[in-house]
Amino acid sequence: MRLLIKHEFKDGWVDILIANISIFSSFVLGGGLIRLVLSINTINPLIMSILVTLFTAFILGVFAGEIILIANVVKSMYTKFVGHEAYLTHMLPVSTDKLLLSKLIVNCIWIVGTILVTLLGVFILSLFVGGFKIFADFAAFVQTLFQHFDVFISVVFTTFIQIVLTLVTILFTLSLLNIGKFGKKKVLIGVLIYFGVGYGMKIVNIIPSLFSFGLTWDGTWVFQRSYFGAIEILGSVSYYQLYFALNIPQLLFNIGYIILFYFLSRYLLNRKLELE
Amino acid sequence: MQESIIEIKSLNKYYGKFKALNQVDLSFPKGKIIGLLGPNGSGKTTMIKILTGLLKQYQGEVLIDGSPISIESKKIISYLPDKNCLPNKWNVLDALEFFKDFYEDFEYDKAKQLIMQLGIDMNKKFKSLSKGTKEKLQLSLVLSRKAKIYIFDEPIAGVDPAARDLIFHMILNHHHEDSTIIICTHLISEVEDILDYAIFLNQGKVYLREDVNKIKESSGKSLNEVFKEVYRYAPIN
Repeated sequence: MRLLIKHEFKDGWVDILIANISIFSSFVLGGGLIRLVLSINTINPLIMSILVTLFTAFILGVFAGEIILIANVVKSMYTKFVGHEAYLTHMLPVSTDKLLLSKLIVNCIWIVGTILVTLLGVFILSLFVGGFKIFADFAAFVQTLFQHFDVFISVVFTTFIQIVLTLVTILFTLSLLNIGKFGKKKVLIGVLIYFGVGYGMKIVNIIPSLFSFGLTWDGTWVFQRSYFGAIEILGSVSYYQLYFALNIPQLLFNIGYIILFYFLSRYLLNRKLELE
Repeated sequence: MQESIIEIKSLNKYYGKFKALNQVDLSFPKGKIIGLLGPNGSGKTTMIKILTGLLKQYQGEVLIDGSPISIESKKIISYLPDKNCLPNKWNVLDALEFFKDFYEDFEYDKAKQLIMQLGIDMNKKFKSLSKGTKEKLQLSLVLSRKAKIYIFDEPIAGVDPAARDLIFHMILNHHHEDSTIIICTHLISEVEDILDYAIFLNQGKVYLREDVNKIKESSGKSLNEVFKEVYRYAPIN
């Protein structure tokens, strides 16, 4: 397992580094631009148009970094398990569990690392905009975090579970794609499967939404019944996501999905592998 | 009776409605150089992929050294696929390190020596290497394992005649002693002089399996001529 993780890191770190440099430098550029705009007293059309262009570049730079990250995660899973390098992967004398877990662990680290770089970038942006008083604001924020440490840990844990769920859903989609003969439509069908599975989960999530028990954002534990979960859950953000920092039934369902998709992926790779 | 390293019983493989392998019963004798021969589409690569665990949907039984296909069988099989499967961003040193890390029987120094003899730059990325060079590189990695079974799927297809001689020279001189070699090819004339045993596949069925010398003695012809007779195509008018 240690060797698999080592090689996963070796294969992916350059592209991930490029993505994170793009994100961080975009925030630095954006912060500098905002500072510059705030310090300008007269409006010069030429300078403003250059600033708008650079600001657009800042937004695009952040998006580009995130897209590079997602593309690398999907590409690395596809290439290693069912694509160009799949022969090499599946000829290794290691179990499918080790192959899958090493891939999930490394990609989790890439995503968490990129989130931290993004947060650091936001902090740098704030530093440019707000000046050094941001450190005092940050200290106050940290103090609040420790006062509501249970909420902080809940958010971190819920986010982590969501990352893992996204990764196993991608893995399941790719494993499913391998057993069918989709030819040139593979990408389209893969996208449809991925979003179809996501929407299917949303429908099943009606069940946990009927009974919500968890930690709210102000740090109190609440039990709530609602008959309107079905209506809210099909929206982009449910009431419960806004209200709860940690929703126990939803968390248990997400963990259940992770286990289900992981074992389905493992079954498909173990029993139904059809490398071209 | 010759000991077998691979046993296949009632093997069937479907691609949709198409039957790629049809009730194949076969055994591969231990310690021999075996040619798995047949035209394109006869089922050779399908059979190889089943033996190496790259195709999992099939019916029948396959035993490698007495056991079903598993992680243990991957430890004793060294496989050269019919296409490049090494990451393009790797260089030679990356590939050597990878094989050293995952295969206990990999001989790092032997691989390095073979690659240096071939004149391949250790730091060059795979994407900048020619097809023939990639083939020789993969072959060097495969032959540098002390495997019980070596499987080469079309090792000389798409390679110039000089390189073909080199590849056969490498296979004959660098495989581990007492190992079994399976060469899967449709280029019979190139390979018949090195084969001990021949298996002819035709439309997913075993047409012929015999010691090469016995085939030549009984027919009075070369293996290539026997192959042409077996797989005779109707002339196009």
